[in-house]
Amino acid sequence: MLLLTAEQRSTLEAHLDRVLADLTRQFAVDVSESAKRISWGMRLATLLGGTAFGAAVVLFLHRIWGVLPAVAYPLILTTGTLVLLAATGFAAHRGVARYYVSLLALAAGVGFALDLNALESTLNRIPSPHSLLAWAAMALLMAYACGIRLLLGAGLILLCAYTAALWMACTGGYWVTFPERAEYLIPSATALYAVPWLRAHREQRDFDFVYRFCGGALLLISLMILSKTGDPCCTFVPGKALEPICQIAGLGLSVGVVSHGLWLGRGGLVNLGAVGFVVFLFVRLHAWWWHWMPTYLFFFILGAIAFLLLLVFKRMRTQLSERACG
Amino acid sequence: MKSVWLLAAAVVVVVANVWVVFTARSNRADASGGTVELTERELGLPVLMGDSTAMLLELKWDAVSRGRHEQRAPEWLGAAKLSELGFDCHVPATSPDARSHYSSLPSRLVYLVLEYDGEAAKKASAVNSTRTRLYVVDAGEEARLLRKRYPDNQRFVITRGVVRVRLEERDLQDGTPLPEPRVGGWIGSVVPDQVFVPQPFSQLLQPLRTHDVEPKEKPASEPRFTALVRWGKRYEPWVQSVRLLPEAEQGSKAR
Repeated sequence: MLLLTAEQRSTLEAHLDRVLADLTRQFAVDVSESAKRISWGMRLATLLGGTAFGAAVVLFLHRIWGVLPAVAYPLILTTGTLVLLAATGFAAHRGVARYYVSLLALAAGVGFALDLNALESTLNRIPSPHSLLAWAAMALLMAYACGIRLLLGAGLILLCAYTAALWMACTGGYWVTFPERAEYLIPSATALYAVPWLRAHREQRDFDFVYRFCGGALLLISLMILSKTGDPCCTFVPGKALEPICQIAGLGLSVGVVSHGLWLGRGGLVNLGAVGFVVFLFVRLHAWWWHWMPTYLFFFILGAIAFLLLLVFKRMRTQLSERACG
Repeated sequence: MKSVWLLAAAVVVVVANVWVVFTARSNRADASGGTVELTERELGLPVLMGDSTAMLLELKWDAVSRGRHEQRAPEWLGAAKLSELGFDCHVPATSPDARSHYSSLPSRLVYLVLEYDGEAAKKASAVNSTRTRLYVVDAGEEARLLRKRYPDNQRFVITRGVVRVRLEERDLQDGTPLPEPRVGGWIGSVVPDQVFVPQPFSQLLQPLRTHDVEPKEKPASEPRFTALVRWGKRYEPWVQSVRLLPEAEQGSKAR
């Protein structure tokens, strides 16, 4: 045990204060409650201001669009997106706080989506699924450039949508209606979930979680849509059997995601699996019991199941906390 | 932050925009899809919203339907034509699996033939007071074969459109149950169904726009403008020119 004199203690405290101040300046970290509140206020003001500024630009373009010569359309739209990209790169290079860099990156992504939409509308083009690929590529590249999870999630979902749309187009359907064929999302969603096993992200460890979360969510949503639309996607499965098969598969998958989340110590995956389990369970119980069971008894049993689930989730939370500490 | 990723993102932006412009230009290399001078009956003016000057004319078209109450479900779009368009119609309409089979078939993007001011328009105007004279008269998977069948590209336009299939169990004329179900199709939309009007033509049409939404049952009135619309190699349209008709010209001069 080290015993310090009063002089030594005051020297040490002064040194630690200096280190804390340097770190605060370098990494823009809030160390006091008032600083945190001010930072939140700044973030809110920036978000509102940025949204208002973006709306002003879009409305201004609407105002002048009809009087511009044709050659101006692609120039303005491309330049606008490139300016936002350049601003993102500049802000990141100058060490601006991560939040503001993320906002600029998101603005660049949204700007690109509006850019292609406006250009295709102005040139009367038939909608193409390849726009989804361009948006996905942009979102993924910016996510890896700036380390932004939201952009990574958006890019991965767009990529899955692109593969489903392409599959729809190749089978002769109109690609815009690919959500009617939820089964087209399953292979790409499975691949997304498997990516971290094949190649873990050493520098951006949160990215593994985003891959798994997006893959798991898309799989669960696809199974839910399939179970309700009951499309006989696989000819060997009779139409009426498809609904319970998909719901039971959804239940099993939800349990799998929860277990995997507990093993990895990832609360987000556990929550995703838990929500999926609850939704699939209630939908299945409704299909089994609603038509013959008295209504009061149905809701009583639902309440009892919800209470049991609460106990299970409480135990899972304890396990997660132990894992985080251990 | 890795600048090479940002640079790659910039390349994606530039390449995507260049590609869109390049394909639009290649579409306009020739007007093999057709060239027709349409009037305000076939090209709806957009409602004035705020001070937007962007001018997108809505293409108004129709199809002579099987039933009075049914829209865009032509007689010729039966099981045989739907099979030709690539729909899987092998399940008999009377089969117990027919309903789930036909409701699960996705819509298809096909080529449509639009006839301007022809037999279909005359037949339709005799039945109801429809305004447009642009009617879908045929559909196919290959544009080249459709053009051979309808060589007059000043009267027949080839464009893309969405067709859907369904199992019909009631008569479309009066709603009475059919003796046995049948497979029928309907045309969901023409793609694209809007045409952008560039400068200087948009300025000619700007004074004609109002804030009022046009009611569906608006009585037919004289058109105020015509627009020469071409459909190109990729069957995408563009406005070649716009002309105000005499009544509208006088109105704008008075203003």
